[in-house]
Amino acid sequence: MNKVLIHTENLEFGYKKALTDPVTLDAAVGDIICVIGRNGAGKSALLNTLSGILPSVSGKIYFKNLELSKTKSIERPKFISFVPSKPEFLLNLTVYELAAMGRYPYTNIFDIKSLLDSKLIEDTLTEYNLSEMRQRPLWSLSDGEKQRVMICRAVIQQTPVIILDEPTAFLDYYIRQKLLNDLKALSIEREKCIIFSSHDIEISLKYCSKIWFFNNNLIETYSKEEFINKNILKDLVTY
Amino acid sequence: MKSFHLSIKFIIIIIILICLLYLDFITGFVKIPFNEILKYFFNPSAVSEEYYILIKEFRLPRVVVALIAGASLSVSGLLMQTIFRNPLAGPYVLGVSSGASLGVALVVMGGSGIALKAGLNPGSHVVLLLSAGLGSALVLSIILAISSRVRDILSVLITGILIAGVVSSVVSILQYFATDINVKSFVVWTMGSLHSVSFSDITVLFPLVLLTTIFIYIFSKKLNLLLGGENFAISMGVKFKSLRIISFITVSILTGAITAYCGPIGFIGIAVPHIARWIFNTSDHFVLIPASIIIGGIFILGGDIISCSFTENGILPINAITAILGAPFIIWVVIKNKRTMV
Repeated sequence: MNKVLIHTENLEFGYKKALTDPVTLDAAVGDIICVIGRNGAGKSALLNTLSGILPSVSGKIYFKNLELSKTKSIERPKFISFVPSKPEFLLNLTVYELAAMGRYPYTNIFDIKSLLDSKLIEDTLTEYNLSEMRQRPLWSLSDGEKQRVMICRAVIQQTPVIILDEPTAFLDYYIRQKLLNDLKALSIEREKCIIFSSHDIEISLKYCSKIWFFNNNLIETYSKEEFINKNILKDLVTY
Repeated sequence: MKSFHLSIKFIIIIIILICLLYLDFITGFVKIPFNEILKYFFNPSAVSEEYYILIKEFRLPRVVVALIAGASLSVSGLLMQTIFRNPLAGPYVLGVSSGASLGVALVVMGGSGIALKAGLNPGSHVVLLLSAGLGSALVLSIILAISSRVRDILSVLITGILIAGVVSSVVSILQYFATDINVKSFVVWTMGSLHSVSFSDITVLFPLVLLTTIFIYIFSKKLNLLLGGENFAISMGVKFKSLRIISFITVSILTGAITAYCGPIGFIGIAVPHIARWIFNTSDHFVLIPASIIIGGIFILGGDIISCSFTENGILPINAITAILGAPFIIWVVIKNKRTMV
């Protein structure tokens, strides 16, 4: 089970200036990792760096044996898919159009889809209960539905790693649970590695398997049990 | 099923385009009988000489240039709306057309001396083409520089309006010092006209616009990804900065070329992409680019027919007609976008 997918070596990340000391992190198949830290600690910066949106300040990121900064930018979306925190969409992109973008890394410049591609899109839309709203423009959806379309797209992209920036923000309690449950199912049944950030510690602890905790200049890795037993939460919430 | 609907819609707009092409062809002082037009295309030697010259030198260039102008401005508008992620972006509002005007004003009224020394004829369309292209590229690079520092869409839009203001002031100063004849030729140019373009101009304009449009069509997939936001696009493997530069060069060429030959024609760039999105109910650039080309043609041919048929012995400026037709669409977009600008 312990197949490492993402490995960082003395990674420093941030907006031009490093936000933490060099970090060495591992994420493996079946992991569902929750990134926890105070506002401004650099959770989004870390996730953006791992997704290749933000160039790293120094250090290396490996996907299996590939060094990510040396892979072509069109190859990266075959390994890692990214779900932004508040999806913003211009004009009337439809549910189907966005979900189908998950196949972009695999199609040619004219986006000619194979029958297999189309079937995968159809099946995943059905699985996420989006089939009936396929022609609806994204602006007409609720925040929870938008998030579901984005995750559906990430699944259609068939990447071993899915990174989500605060997926539970803007959602009500019920939908949060459902979403995290879906993510957990993905990590176990489809052997994916899920990395997400959250301020919603209680719910996240229920579903995650590992925690990356921003502690001052360090990022510490804990298993769920360690994190609860060592009473680390206290540092985070006491004023 | 979806592709069936798509083809039906494309067939309908192409039929409308062809009807308007024919209508625009016969509109003018002289009515050309239908069989003479047919003869021109299938059996040129049988056409009487007056009709032959009329068709070859006036009507055909006018209709073709209308199509090219509508297509270029609409594609420019579409690109700018996607790149700036702003439904109100277009070559006219963001000052790109004004930039082209500045280039032309400098050559027509200010820099004729320079052009003459360089051995160029300042009135020639090639010189106008170059100056308009450089002018619009200048404005776009200023907007690009600002938009990379300021992320806010509204600020970029206001900057565009300010640039347009500065440009028009510079143009007024140039007008103050210019000779009467030069001022007149510049003012006539600003009104916009599809009628001053000759057959030989089209041989330059047509391949230029065709190649640029095909070139940008290849980037449709990447443009689609931009609709999900900059970060999303980069995470999907788009090289955002180079895509933006490629799009800006395309807009400069398309807008610059059309503005040089036909004058600044407003509102088509904003309005047409919205009409295309509305008709096809999609934001997919693979559909929107060809749809904007056809609908842009319909829009400008409609405008041209109106501008030719209202007065007995003259032609109304096309710029005024497109503004009257296009402005209501922009108001519609503003009202509609209370919902869609998420």
